[in-house]
Amino acid sequence: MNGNYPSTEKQYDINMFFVLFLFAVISCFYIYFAQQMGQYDTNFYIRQGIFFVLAFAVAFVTVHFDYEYYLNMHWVLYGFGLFLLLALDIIGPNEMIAPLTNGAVSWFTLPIIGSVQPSELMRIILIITLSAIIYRHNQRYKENATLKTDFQLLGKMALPILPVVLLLARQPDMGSVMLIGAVFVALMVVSGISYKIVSVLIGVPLLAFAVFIFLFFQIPAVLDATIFALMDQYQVNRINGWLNPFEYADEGFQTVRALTAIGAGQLLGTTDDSIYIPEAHTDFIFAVISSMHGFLGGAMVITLYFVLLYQILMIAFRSNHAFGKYLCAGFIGMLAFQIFQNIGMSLGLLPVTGFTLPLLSYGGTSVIATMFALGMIMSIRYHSKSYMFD
Amino acid sequence: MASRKNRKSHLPKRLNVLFFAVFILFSALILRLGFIQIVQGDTYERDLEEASEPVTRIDAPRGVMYDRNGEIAVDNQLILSLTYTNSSSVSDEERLDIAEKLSGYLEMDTEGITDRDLKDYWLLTREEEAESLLSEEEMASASEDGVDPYDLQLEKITDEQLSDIQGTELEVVAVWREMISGYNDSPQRVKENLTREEAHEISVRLEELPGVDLLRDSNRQYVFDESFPGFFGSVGSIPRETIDEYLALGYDRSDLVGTSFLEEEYESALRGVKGELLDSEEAAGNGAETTGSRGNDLVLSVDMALQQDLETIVDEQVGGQSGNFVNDEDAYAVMIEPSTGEILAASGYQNQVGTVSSSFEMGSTVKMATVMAGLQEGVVTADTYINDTPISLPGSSDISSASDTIGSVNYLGALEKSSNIYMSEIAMRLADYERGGTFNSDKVQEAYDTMRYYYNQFGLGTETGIDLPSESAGISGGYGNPGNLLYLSFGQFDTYTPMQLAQYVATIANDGYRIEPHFVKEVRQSNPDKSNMGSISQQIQPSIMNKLSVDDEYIDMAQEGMLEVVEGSSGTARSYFGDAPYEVAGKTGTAQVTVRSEGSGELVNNAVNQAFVGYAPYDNPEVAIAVIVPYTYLEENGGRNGVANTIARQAMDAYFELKEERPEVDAENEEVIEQQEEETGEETEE
Repeated sequence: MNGNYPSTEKQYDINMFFVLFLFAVISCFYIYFAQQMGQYDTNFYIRQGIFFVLAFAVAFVTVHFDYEYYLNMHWVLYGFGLFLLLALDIIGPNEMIAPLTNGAVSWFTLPIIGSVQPSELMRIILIITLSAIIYRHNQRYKENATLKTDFQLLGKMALPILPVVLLLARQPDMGSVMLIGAVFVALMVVSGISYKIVSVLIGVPLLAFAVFIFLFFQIPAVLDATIFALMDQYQVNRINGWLNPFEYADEGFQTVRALTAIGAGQLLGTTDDSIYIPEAHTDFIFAVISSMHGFLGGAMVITLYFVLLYQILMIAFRSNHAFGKYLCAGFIGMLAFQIFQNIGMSLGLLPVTGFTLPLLSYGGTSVIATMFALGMIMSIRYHSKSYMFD
Repeated sequence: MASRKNRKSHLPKRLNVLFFAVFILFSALILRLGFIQIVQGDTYERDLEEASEPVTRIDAPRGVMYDRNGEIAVDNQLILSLTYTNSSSVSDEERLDIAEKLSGYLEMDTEGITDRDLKDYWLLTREEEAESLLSEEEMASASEDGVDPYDLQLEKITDEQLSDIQGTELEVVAVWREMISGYNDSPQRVKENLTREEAHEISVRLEELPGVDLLRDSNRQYVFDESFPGFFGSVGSIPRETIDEYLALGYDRSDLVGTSFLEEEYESALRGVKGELLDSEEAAGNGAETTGSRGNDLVLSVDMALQQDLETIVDEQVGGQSGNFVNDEDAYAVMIEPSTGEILAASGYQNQVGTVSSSFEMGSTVKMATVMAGLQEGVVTADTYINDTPISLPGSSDISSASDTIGSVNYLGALEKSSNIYMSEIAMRLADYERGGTFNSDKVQEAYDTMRYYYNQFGLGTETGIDLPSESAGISGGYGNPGNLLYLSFGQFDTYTPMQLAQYVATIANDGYRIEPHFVKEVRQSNPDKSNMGSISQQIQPSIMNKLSVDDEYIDMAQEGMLEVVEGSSGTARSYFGDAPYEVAGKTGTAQVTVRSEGSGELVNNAVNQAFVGYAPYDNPEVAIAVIVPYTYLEENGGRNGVANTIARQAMDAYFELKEERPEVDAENEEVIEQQEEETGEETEE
């Protein structure tokens, strides 16, 4: 195998660039409309356009960077990410550079650059780190994987995650914690760990969740006495607002507004923009889309995301380097969770968390980080090597 | 190698598993989206139309009211109100805190605080003491019995404990009770009509007072002070029992609406069109504001000058003469334009609204209706003469006329001299009864029905159709004994409201056409310059309710009889109207009533209701009047006679004097000329 001379295709993924371009256009378009609702007077759509130009440049550069280098430098990246989170934890809350916004310290406000959310970067770094760990592990135990080595792998994966989760929980940014959980699950599935372990690790939380939902609607007193007693009031409120938005009018305020706006959109959309959608240009951009252009608009956006994820999947299939496949799986997990979580919360399926809709919501860090990740994916395609005998 | 291949070959499969999960999640999203938008879309769209409140609406003032001559009678005054928007997420402590801060800047009236308010406040602020009110056993037994321990606590608070709340703390309670009395998420007025200082103090501190806001409100201002506000009605918060109806009409919970009389009746016209201000300060700068407009204005049929004259006259005649009255002094007078039903003036000494809500036995004033009923039914003719001698009935006191010198009279004399016997004879004949005979109870019932059938046609004992939200139809005595039937014929059995009496006389003056009385002549679009009225948006046309089923000749005969009352040599109103410079037709009435004295609690049986109805000029009636002075003493019992007649005379004089003055005074006022043209136009149409 080593004797074969690898040749690279050096092909840009034009299809994916096109889909990303579509997202950029849709994003600016709907942010423009969200802005018309009179909540803000900043020209968000122009700024978003500038972010996209920057993000495309970042992606383009990243494409040319051979992803296999990450295998060697992921600890450096991890160290950098952890440093940022630690710095945020130590400095914040601080009016100047790490302010308290919406009850959490998640942002650096830096001169010139603007607001930066370290957790956006950290999740990507974590995917790289975990992929590298899985790749190394599987190389080492390629011949004799047993349940014991599987557990060792799980342990190795958990090690870098723990400090990150701890720091995120302190912000608090439970949304990012959940996202990291999703990435972990996605990577665990593809890592080759025995289905026995996987099914237990996924099944038990699912069961717990089902029990929770059952208790909430049937025997709420049990929850009040146990879980809710341990949680912060704002978290309890969010759960109430999520599962019972019309009754907990204050907590479910955003959900009710979003649901009403989306529902009124019906099949083709409504021109009645009289409802106030909170955070219309960021967290609730999907509500704007499906309110304005109805089921058609909403379904189109969901389909476009599906196409994007499918393209990543195809890249994973074509790549003949396992590390690339793990990266792709990690990003599919991350993006799918973000999309599902954001749209799900607009549709009242999931609780309201501060998740942005990747590529559509307004926000420089989010757009650039996502495009950086996708650039990395395209780099897998670009640097994919074909071996003569394989 | 085999094992690694094995592991590697797992990868595509596992990627497929992962992607399958993604597919499931996305399918769930599409399904949910379809469910919300396509299945439930209609519901949400309706919700959106109803519930969305993206903008702050600026209250627009209500329409003003002009009198018939274009004088503003009810105006608006701009005031500032302090509102508090309650929310379920605000804790009791935070609310109390705000109440305390507010009470420092506001001067609050502590009069209206109830015991319950104090107790609630006490329990809220003195938690430890509140807990010690109930022993643990009491708590336990309360929860067993399903009794709210809070209710028990309320009972246990002593006055002594309550008296702990004093001075400035009382003001806190006053603010607090207003704050919690509103609906959640809807501004509640805590104090209206803030002083300039109060408004300033609050406005600079709005930041630290979440939920508190200042609101531009308009307050009703009555230009003619005390005159007439009773009928204008009042404006207030939407009553709880009608809140749904108002919300359905697009009102906000915090809106002020007309809650009684004209304000309520014409709410839809008076209601202003709200201005809209896009939410948040950001939008305010962009001029995203539509200005509201004042509601439509009302032009009343009332002549405020005449109204004031009438009130002065009534005041002079009955005011400060409590000795003449069994209870408080009282009198009602209504002046109406017979051909249109327009009310020119309406006065009630105790309560102006009594003209439609209080009813009295009106005595002989109803006799024209009895005469017409008798003539139309054929039981008497123009040539029927009846000798006025007392009638004795079995089981009833003798019936006689007030005067014992009436003699033998036909309809003219019966009206002129007010013969009760002539009327009783009509009633008896309707019941097929002759003196000394026996009553047939079926026939008596028939006679009751027949007489009320005629009375109702004049508006007596039935609703007048006046443009007010409610009116009394008077009280019918039902089928009494045969003696009561005779009393009914001269107005001493059923009771009628002053407004009914006015409609009755107007119907006679109007040759038998009964017209709905109304206070409002026209609805006009609001004109920013209030000194000029806007264009007419609705003209209230005279609405004929019915034509009397009485031959015209009989109506003429009744009118002649009324003329005799004033001009006849022994007419009962001759001394009051004989020298009037205009020709009047009228009828006096003195109903003997038994009334309980509020002072002594004893029944007084020598009291009378003094009444008068009339119209002028006789040939072409312009004004009809009904006056009732209830529960007075006659001269022989230490009272005064002819009070109603005097009021009527002076009111008529005032009307004609004003009529003479007006064209000269207002000759330059185009509005009046225009109005007069309209009026003459109406007349020619008829």
